[in-house]
Amino acid sequence: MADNTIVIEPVTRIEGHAKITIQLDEAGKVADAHFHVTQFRGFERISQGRMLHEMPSLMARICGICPVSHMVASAKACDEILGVTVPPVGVLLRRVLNLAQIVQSHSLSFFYLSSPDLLLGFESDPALRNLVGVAQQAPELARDGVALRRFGQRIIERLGGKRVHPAWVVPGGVSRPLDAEQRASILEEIPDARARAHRTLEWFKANVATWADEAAHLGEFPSLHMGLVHESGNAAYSDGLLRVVDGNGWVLADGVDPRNYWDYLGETVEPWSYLKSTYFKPLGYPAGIYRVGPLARLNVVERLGTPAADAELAEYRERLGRYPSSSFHYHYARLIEIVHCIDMIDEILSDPDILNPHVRARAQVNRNEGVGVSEAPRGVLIHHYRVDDDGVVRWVNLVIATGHNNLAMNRSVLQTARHYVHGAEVKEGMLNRVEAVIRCYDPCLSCSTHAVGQMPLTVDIRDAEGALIRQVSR
Amino acid sequence: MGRETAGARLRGVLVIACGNTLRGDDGAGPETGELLAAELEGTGAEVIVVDQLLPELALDASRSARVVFVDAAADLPPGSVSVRPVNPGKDAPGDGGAESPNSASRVPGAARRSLDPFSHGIGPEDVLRLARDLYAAEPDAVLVSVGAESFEPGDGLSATVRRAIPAAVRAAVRAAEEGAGTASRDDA
Repeated sequence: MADNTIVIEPVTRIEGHAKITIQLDEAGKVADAHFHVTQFRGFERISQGRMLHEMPSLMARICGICPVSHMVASAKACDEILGVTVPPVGVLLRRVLNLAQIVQSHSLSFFYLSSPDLLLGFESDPALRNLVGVAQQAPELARDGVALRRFGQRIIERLGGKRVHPAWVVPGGVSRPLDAEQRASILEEIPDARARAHRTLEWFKANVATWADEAAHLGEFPSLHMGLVHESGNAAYSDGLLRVVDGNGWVLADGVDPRNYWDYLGETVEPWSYLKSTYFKPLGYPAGIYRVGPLARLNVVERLGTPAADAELAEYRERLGRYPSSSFHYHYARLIEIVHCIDMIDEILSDPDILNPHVRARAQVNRNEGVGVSEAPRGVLIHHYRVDDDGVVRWVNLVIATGHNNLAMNRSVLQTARHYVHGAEVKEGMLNRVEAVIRCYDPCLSCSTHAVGQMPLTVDIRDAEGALIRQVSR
Repeated sequence: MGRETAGARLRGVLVIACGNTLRGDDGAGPETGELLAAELEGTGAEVIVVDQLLPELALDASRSARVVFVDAAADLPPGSVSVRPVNPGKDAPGDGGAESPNSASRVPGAARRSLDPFSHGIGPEDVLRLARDLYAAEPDAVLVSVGAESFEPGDGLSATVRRAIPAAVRAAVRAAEEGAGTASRDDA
């Protein structure tokens, strides 16, 4: 009996490690496909017994790509337990850090991980389908990517003291105010960053028709979308309330206090992955499939809130419809968010009051439970803690952006595999597209499994009997 | 080696020390880097301490005349300190990695080559290659490697590697002052 299993391992150009299994039927057509996350990290368990004040710094260790997101969400959970109101400038400084994080993370995702496919082609030589290949064919694009990521990283370093795992965000605010020199140096770099972001967006828009087939088959399906929204209808990356809309724009939940997330979100575990699947409870599992992150955020908000980004958003909606449903459009949404985040950083830092020294509120434990929510680059991030009266952490639940997208990623992998993978003739480009749909979501698997060590992501293709017929490892 | 209180005798020198402080002796790079930041203060040299090498470091490298990389190594006797020149990777991705066993990364050998496939396990030669390809810059470069005993999860260096840190600092300072030199070994 011939093997009918294709394995892709590792899935390349994503953060973390996972496996894709493609199951063929007896006719050699794709019957099923799964995205398996094989890392296990266990931060929810590790945190038990730690002191509350350690949590932001500890949670930052979940991930080296988006530590700021975890620090912000963690600090907000701690704020609630302390019962404090963070001083306004402390709120704004946390917001700047989060925005800078989004710029650097989106830049990594687009330029380093996905642009090789977009520029060089999904069928191109895998040996060159990386940033080196991009540098050779489109050096300006590569330079823009390097510069934008560096711009975001340098803001994080200036504010937090270091690029990765900065310890500046603390319960009650931030540990020290911004000084005039730091502020001036960041503002000085904004025009260059803004120009590069716009240039990249123009490049993308000029070439988007090239990827029409991918846009139609890489995760094109109806789903709900969830994100944080300010009461004004603007995007809210650090604060705001949860909104859930369907693919037609019907609002299924709105103004939800993140503390009540459990009323709307359920989590379940499938045996083939360490990544929990999250679903919208009112519709049950798996009908309650939804997406978070750039695509979803642009669907749930009315506007972003800065002029240039809103102009881009208007054009995006004119091109793609008011509620785009293809996961391929995460790339376009990501680039618009980079523009918006740079403009928001400029707006916040241009106010001289940002130098106010009052940036932290202090208190002891006043509540035994707290929830902190923020928009990580990849989507809504929830930290939920319970502590005793001495501030010892007794219970932690983390709902990670990539977990919200797990059901959607699996559906996307199945759809993409069905369109591009055909029986025994499995070409490199076919498998690259299956990987590429995962890259649209920019998953952070280290975060989402809260991983120790490196465990490769493979793609297995299996026959109707479940026997492995091919495994791709790189 | 005393601190310079005036002048910038090492202006144009960039030290990039990398490693994961939560993976045992992989923290040798950051530990050495933090000491170098203090040692080289006032000399004009810039010190960057990072968890891993990433493409954006190519921009910093392109603005330097001399780059000193510091990292732990899996393929050296534990506690030994090695200095060797580093060159940009050749045209075919992977040549640099294959010729330069200089990374402490636990990524399999094939994946260590030139930004592929993980994009979070690049080597010094890839940073230099991007500096050349994107910015037409070719700084002199060396890699100071500290032989590691263990990369198991955990905070803190092994006693063997901890004893080697002063030698690594001395080697990096010499490299900063002398530029890319011939390979040498110094068992701490």
